Amino acid sequence: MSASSSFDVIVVGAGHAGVEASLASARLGARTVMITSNLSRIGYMSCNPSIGGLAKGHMVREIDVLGGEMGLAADATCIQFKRLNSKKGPAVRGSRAQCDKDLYIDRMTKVVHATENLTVIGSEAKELILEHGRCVGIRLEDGSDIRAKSVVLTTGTFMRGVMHIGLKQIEGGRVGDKATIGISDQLRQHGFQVQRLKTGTPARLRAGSIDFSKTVEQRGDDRFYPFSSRSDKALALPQISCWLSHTNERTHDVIRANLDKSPMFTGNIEGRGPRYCPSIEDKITRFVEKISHQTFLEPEGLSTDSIYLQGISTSLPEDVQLEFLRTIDGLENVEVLKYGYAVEYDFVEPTQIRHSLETRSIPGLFLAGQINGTSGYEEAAAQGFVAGVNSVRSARGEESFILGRDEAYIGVLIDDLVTKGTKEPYRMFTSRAEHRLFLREDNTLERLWNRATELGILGQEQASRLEAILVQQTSLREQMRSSVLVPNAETQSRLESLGTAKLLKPTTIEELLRRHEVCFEDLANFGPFGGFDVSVTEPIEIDVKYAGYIDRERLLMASNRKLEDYKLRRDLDYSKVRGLSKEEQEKLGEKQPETLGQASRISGVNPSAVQALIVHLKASKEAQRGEFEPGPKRKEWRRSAVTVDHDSSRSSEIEGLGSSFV
Amino acid sequence: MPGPSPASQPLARLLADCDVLRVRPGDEDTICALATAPGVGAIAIVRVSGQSAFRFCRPIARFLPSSIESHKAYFGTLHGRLGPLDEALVTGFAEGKSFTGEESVEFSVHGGTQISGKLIEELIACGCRLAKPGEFTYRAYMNDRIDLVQAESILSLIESRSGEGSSNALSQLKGELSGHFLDIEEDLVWMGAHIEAGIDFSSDGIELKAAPELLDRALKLEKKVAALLATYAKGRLLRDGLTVALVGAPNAGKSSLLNAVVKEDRAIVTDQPGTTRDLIEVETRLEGTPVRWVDTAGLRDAVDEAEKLGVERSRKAIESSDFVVVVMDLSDPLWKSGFQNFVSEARRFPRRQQWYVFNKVDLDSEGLGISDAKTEASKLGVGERVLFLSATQGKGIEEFQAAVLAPLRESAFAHGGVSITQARHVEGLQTILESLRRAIELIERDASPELMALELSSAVHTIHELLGKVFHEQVIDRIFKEFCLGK
Repeated sequence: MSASSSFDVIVVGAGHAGVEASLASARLGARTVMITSNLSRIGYMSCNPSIGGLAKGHMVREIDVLGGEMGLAADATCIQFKRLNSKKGPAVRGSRAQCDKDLYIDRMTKVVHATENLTVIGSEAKELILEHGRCVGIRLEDGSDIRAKSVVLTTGTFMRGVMHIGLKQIEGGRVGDKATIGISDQLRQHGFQVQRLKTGTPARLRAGSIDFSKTVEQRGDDRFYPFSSRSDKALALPQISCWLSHTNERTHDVIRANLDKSPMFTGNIEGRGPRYCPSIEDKITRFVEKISHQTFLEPEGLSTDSIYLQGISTSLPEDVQLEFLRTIDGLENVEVLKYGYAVEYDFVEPTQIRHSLETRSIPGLFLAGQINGTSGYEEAAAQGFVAGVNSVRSARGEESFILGRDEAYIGVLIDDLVTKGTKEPYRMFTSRAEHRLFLREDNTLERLWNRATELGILGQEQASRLEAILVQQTSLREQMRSSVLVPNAETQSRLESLGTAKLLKPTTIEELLRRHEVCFEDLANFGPFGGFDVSVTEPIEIDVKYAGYIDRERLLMASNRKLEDYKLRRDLDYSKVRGLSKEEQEKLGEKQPETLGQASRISGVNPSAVQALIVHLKASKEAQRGEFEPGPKRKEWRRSAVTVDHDSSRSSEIEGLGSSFV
Repeated sequence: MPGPSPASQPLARLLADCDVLRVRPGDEDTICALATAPGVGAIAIVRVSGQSAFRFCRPIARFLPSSIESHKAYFGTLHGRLGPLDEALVTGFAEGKSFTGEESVEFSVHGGTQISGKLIEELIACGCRLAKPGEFTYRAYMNDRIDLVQAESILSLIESRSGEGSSNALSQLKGELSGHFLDIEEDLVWMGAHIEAGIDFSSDGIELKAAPELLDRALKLEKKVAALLATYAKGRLLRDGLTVALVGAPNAGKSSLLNAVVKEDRAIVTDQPGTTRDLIEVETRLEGTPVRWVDTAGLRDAVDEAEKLGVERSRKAIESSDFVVVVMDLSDPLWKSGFQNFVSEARRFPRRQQWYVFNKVDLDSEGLGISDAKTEASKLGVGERVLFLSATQGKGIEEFQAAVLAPLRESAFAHGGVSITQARHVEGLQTILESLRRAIELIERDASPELMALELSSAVHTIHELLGKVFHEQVIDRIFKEFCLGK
């Protein structure tokens, strides 16, 4: 390594965010360098052994269509596949692949090393190099400098990371890896609000010490829906089972008796943990009435003996962990490979970054993943991808790549972070997406195809494969609308055998599919509608069956878009906008929303403020055009000849006032 | 949900309306206006609001101390440019503590338009601007002192023309109606949270509210919303009062009846049929409620053009009134066929909004006409809606008035005396009711939960629109409060 070398983009970190950022940047043709302190953990799954899940599966598919890597890696290393909520509605189904953790790392490492334009350096990033307020590089632990036009930080839980096991504290971002100190201090010095979050992980158990006969087997689905349309339709690896067991009152007694040894309860941990993923200590104290909590025993791979104990994250001392674990059915003689722990780390309040994921105060510096307060591999990968793309675009002076809330979960994720910030590790839920019926897993390709081609990360061959699916869909849709079934004897008997009512008049195939009891596969009875892959037919079927709701969703999307069309200038002086509270003026001034839609979602900005902004924008526009007509237009105003108003706290006087109207 | 943002949907709607809300260059001004009704009264209140309120009032109220204490009344003599104006109580309100949220001053001066008028002139000379109608309320809303519901209540209070109407407006102002809206919101959020938890945390082994419990809550809420909506008709009557159309054959005595009610010779009463060619509107107050009487031309076939016009107007008046009172002359031998015609004409009106009044009972000395009319009325199915009176002798007038006011006395107030008076509220509640009914249907047929969630979130939007607030991750917060989650 020379004392100073130069790249287009530097990515610090090689977790799920770092990998996607590096690959996206390099694939866009930018000379990229990935800096990681541990070369053997590229794309390491440091907590649970699965990719995807509700709302997360959506993001994996989105990353995939745009040209990211996570979906391909998950498909290739999948050892159990499940489509969650498959019995619920189409918009809330989520794919989850449990993966072989070692194979996942192997695959990601190979891809990273094989990618053109991408250099990997095994070193610790010590310091940001700042010049004229811009981030222009990274100083490594050996004192050498690497310079670049953009820098992406994906440091995960490593910034001032402290692990807690009982009352013991160890510096480090995760077991086996040391913490990064310098950078977060540097960010603080530059005025960033840096705060603490906490997360935890459960113990890993040795499979051979578990009596699985006392647990309930949980098999995967028979049908595999790969995340990526670029993957093979068939699973590559043998499939495994997981196992369900439960805590009981004895477990809870042990934990309760030892709460004084939990860093959560002694105040040793100041960071806020995720409400959706509380430790077992938390669950027991907050939901006293529950006498049992479920836990899934999940194998971490095909060739490892390690079992991940889902649902039981803890930071109690090792001996207490062992004691309560052994009260659980099937774990009476369990041996622990790695104890659970909590980790506290620094994150940057994400309202300080833009939708491009570039920080507001240091141009050229991008943040992605847990450093922005999120949790989860998929949330990290999504941000990593976007940061990677935008670091290149920024270096090239191009416009940022920003996905809308009505385009992708990734758009919802980043918009939430940037406009609202977070107080706990942020996880994606389907309920965070207001246009959930449109943001489905099945139609990811359709909704993001234009954005993907605009990006140009997908190679020619991959792109034409995806485009072929869309072409097929378009022609299928047309065919379904134009094919008419006539109520002849043959048709009627086929309908009868499908268990659906006979036709009363000629009916299109599309109309037939609207019927509750008819599914796409049945259509093969009536024309050339058989033999298509489910990735082709599923979005069509859902669009037809839920047409009414989807139309409503589209109307809503169009009306929300209007607010996004109101652009706010970065130099807008909010103190001049009448009707804004001091707090709103500060928040808006600080966050510099780019559209009225963004402004409306900033927490603490009330609807009256949005109204005031509309009024302001309109008034200043009219003032410029000289069309301004002063005077109230509101109907109610005209009707009222007299103005009566009183401090509402003095209601007795109002009472008196009211009587004067009798 | 989504709305979350779903949150921005109501805001998007504002865009459509934004031309009605303009910030005028004058918004920085300090404004003044007469705050009490113009006319004779013991006192009149003049209000001043704006950043220079104290400064502009000092030259007039020279007795004010250098540091004005908020909410304290100071007594002294007001001075204009030409000398003393009046003795007055002057109350100052500090910024943030007044109705508008701005620095404000209230002058209580002696009643009548003279003194308050002069005071306003002086205030303008000192730098104030005369407020535009509703401008105080506008400022209060812009400064977050009141929510939309309260702002509308104030407008409603200003417009309220009946005694009960103003107390209704007052209870809204105090947040009672907001309270009912908040109850509805609470129920919607609860249901939304349970449905969302079932979706997003289905693999967390949480115990979901069973569909029956959800359905039960939804049905109860449906009832609640429907009951609140039902108060609208009454609420509107309270605010605007009643309009009663008097119809009947010429010379049946409509004008006399009107005169008897009004007790002054307002309508022209002659013996010549067809005298009342133009609509005569008289407004009375019956027990504090404004009642507009519209005396229409008779509905007989008109002979001349002027009368034709009158007949046409009568029809219009009838269509836009709350009540139709058909007046018939009991002494007219042809009353029966007229009665039948009127009843069939009035079919379009709900029965409870019709009254059939037989006038001139004084001429029916033996009461034969009365019993005949009663028999005929029950035959026509309006037996409960007949009244007998003599307008010229004042007989039966009180009973008649009581009958007209009866619907206002019905205690249809299912909501602790609160009723809906704003069209905006009706529209919103109706939207909520529709969403709720669709959600109920979805729950009943065990449909996809995200569809139920869509209906509920659109209902939540609407209630937030009514309350003028946005959706802040409430559903998600609720989920964490109620469920033990954790993967």
